[in-house]
Amino acid sequence: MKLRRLSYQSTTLAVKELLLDDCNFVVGRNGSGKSRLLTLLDNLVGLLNNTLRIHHVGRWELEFVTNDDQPFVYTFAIKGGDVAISAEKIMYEGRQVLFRHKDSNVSILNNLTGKQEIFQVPLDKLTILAVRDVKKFPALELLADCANHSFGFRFANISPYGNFADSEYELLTRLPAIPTLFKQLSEDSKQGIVHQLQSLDYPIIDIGYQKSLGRDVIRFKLKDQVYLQLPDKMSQGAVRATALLIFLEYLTTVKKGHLVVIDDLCEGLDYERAKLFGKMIFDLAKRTGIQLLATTNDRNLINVVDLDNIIVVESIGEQIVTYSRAQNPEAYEHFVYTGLSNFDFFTTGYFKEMV
Amino acid sequence: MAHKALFVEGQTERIFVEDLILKTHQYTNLTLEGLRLVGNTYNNERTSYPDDYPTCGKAASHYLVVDVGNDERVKSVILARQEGIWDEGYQQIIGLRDMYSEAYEKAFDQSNLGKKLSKRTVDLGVVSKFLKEGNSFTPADHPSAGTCHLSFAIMELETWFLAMPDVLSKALGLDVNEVNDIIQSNTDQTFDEFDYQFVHPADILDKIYGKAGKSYGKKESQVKSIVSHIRQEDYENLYLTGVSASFCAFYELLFDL
Repeated sequence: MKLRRLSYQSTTLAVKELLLDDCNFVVGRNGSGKSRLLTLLDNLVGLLNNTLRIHHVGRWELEFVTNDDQPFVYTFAIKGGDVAISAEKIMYEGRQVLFRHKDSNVSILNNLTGKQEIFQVPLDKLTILAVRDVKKFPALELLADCANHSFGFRFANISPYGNFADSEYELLTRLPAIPTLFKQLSEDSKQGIVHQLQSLDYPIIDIGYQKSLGRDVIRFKLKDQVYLQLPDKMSQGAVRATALLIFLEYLTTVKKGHLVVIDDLCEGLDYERAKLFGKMIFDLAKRTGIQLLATTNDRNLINVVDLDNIIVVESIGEQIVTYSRAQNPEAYEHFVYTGLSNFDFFTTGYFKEMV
Repeated sequence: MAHKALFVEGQTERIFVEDLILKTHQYTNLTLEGLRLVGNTYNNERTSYPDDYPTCGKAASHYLVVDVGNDERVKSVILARQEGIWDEGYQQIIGLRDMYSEAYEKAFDQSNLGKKLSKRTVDLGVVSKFLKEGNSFTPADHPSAGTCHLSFAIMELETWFLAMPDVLSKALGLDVNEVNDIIQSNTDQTFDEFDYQFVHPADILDKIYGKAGKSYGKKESQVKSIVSHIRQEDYENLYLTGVSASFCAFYELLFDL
């Protein structure tokens, strides 16, 4: 399933309508709400995966589209006081397949019998965490599967002096550390990553896994060198690019990711590499069918992606307002003729034209 | 006489414009500086005329020609750098880029959704929108702000080379009739204006190169070879005959005609 719309409302934060396509580049000035949006997505996936206790009061509305183009709408609300799920509903294929009543009973449509079944779901649990049956309740499986296969990566957190550990880079559904992911890749995948790094003009001829002083590390072999080097001998950009390529290769060949969120994509890469790498990630997402959401303020990256995939974010008080092609097609269509770059689309405020 | 700053989309444009300026001025009473932007900084690819510029100071007619490295950066770079340009005393900023670009292709597809207009045909509606919107500049809040203009070579600068078949014949050692035949045989447009005959004039130029057993790849050496065969009179005639409307518009802007 792909997430197409997200709305959230609480007393401290509101996202009116974030509309998503298959590839999405979220841009905005510092303080515009990009990080809060990522935290929101992180919390959402945590709630759905049961890795986060319900505590933030608020109302969520999520609209997905399934692989066979069916709409899937999931709404739920968490109330204050005794923090609990106060509302929950799924509409799928035009039918209400789940509804949580005020008395905490949840009625779920049995796909085999066509009849509603009633369950007593704990007040502090979402229904997908309490009731599962692949054949009876396929809608719940779709939702759980989507959450389990949503991953995130904090590009700027990767450092040549770090541990490539999951705690450093991860968002959404957690994965092991990068070296562990690397170990699980096929030889073809590993060679593919080396070729991708070479196309970015990094003089890397091989990458390998090694245990060093109790740590799992990725090592790099450069042209004219005999031995594999530790990452602290490499540039920050090379290490970040390598880590993300390993992460994405794992998600496309081993784990089969649905949604990938990348924070600060291309941060720390030089002008030419930001353009090439950004395009590489964009093309990979298109080719593999992964839904991509990347945040960036990198001018070079913003200028190389398709304007239609750019979502501009700004904060107005406690509200995060988003501007996308779906919401303002005239501005996006008209901007093409101005001769300006994508970066100007957001720095000049053009994204608000004709709204 | 004025100080003008030109921001051009690439190497071909920079070589052509520097040559046009120097020859039109007959290499006298002017100074010229050519630079290349990589990212947001100038690299060390610098040209200057005369050789002792900047020591000799700017002449009454001075030109700065900057290669910005991408068609979609020309206007953005102008907007980003105009304050500095006005600070340095320039009176006019001129941008030059090809009409043909990814943005044009995208606009073409948007505009012709469901229609049967072939991509080998120039879409006049799309071109006119680019001409109108591209030249829309919000005036800078600067006490010495001059004027900004964005010129387009329609559809690419290579159209201007095709409009000078004599030059191409000399540069490639071909008979001018051969060159003309190739140009004529590769237009299936019905427009009267020369500029609109070719969506990709660089492809036509490649066919002409093919006649000479070579291929055209916009290489620096190739562009320099072509312009080395252009005389000042060739530029003048290209303007006076009005064969290429986009060249004429650029020429008038550059030389205040």
